[in-house]
Amino acid sequence: MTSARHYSVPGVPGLAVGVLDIGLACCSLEIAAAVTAGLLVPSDSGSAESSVLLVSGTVTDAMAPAVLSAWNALPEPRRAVSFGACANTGGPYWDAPTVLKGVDQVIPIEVYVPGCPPRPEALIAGLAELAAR
Amino acid sequence: MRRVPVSDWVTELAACQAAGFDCFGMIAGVDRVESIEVIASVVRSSDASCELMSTTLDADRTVASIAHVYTGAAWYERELAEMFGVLVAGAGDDRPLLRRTDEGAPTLLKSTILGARVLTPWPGDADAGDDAKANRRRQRAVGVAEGWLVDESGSDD
Amino acid sequence: MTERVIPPNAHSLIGLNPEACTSCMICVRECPVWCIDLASHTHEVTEEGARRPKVVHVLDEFTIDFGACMYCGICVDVCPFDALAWSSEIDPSAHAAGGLVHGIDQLVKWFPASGS
Ligand code: SF4
Ligand code: SF4
Ligand code: SF4
Repeated sequence: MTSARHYSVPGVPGLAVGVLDIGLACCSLEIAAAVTAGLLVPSDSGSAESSVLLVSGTVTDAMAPAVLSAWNALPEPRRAVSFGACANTGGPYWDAPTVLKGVDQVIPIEVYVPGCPPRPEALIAGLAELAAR
Repeated sequence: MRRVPVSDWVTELAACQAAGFDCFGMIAGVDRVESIEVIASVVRSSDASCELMSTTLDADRTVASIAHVYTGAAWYERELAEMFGVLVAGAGDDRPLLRRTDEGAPTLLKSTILGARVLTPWPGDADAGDDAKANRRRQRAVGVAEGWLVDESGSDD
Repeated sequence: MTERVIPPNAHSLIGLNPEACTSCMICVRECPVWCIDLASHTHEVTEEGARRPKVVHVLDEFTIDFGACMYCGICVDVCPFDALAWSSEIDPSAHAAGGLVHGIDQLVKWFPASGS
């Protein structure tokens, strides 16, 4: 969870994103799967049109400030994607007093990708949705 | 699973370590209502055999830390403290993992009421067919506390 | 688009066959995250030759909130009428968490033609 990595997305021509991936739980493996499957292709930095904060996994009360500071540290123009049921609404932990009822309680989210975990294709579809906006 | 008295917890796990169980697996708490049970698993990497050990805590809900035997246990002992209200004696680190502060009821105890389950309308509380609703028995999902959200002013709604 | 690398039976969306659904509420009550909701009404039909009319349930609304759904498949397993099935469609994203709630119109399109 340090500096953004840059990717091109073969399925979404023209989209170059710098992704800061906040991987908090199981969902994060699917982002690695998307890279392994070639759906996200690491590229040289600098070409990114915007920085994207991809929040995947369960956002607990304890992690909320870290998510907020990662967002605040991201250079403009910046956009945020919520990836998976936990980040979307709390998901399986919807009734837990220690889990946020969605990461949009702390940062503005533009695209919500469903799944538990979402399949890599769903991530690409979500990024296409983001690019189309 | 081997059951050991809580007073032998550290010596038994140290004996496992000495017997070649070099990998720490996990520690889990179980709320047995009358008492808290603590279970640890350790693995011997040479033959992949696993040892499961369990102990039942006394009313003081205290267990000695094994983090000096298995370093990885420290994380799970923090979980035990935060989620089961267990006092881990001799633990170097007892900061909560999920909460921001020490405040709040241990989340995995059965006696801890999950407010979200009370406040969220359960879609299962309806019967097939709208006209069946008139004289049906109210239903409740599992894990929903009764009488938690009441008007304490005594007025009848 | 991109080459499909995930098996088509991987847990993805869930489709509904409203013709098969009897509004029995079993899936609604078994869902661990309470993300299925339905509304129905009863309707009497008298079949020819029958001595008394029979009561049938008519499904009015059926929604799954894929923002909360944990894709556990319990609903697919417990439905006694095979009215729910896994779909291999790619889950559409939304611009608000509430946009992930899908009703009969959408769920019926995700019901696989040949069942699960
Ligand atoms: S949405 Fe599901 S897979 Fe993703 S972090 Fe939450 S529990 Fe894990
Ligand atoms: S897959 Fe599980 S969480 Fe999703 S609707 Fe079915 S029962 Fe509910
Ligand atoms: S269990 Fe099947 S038949 Fe019953 S309400 Fe759910 S989908 Fe309909």
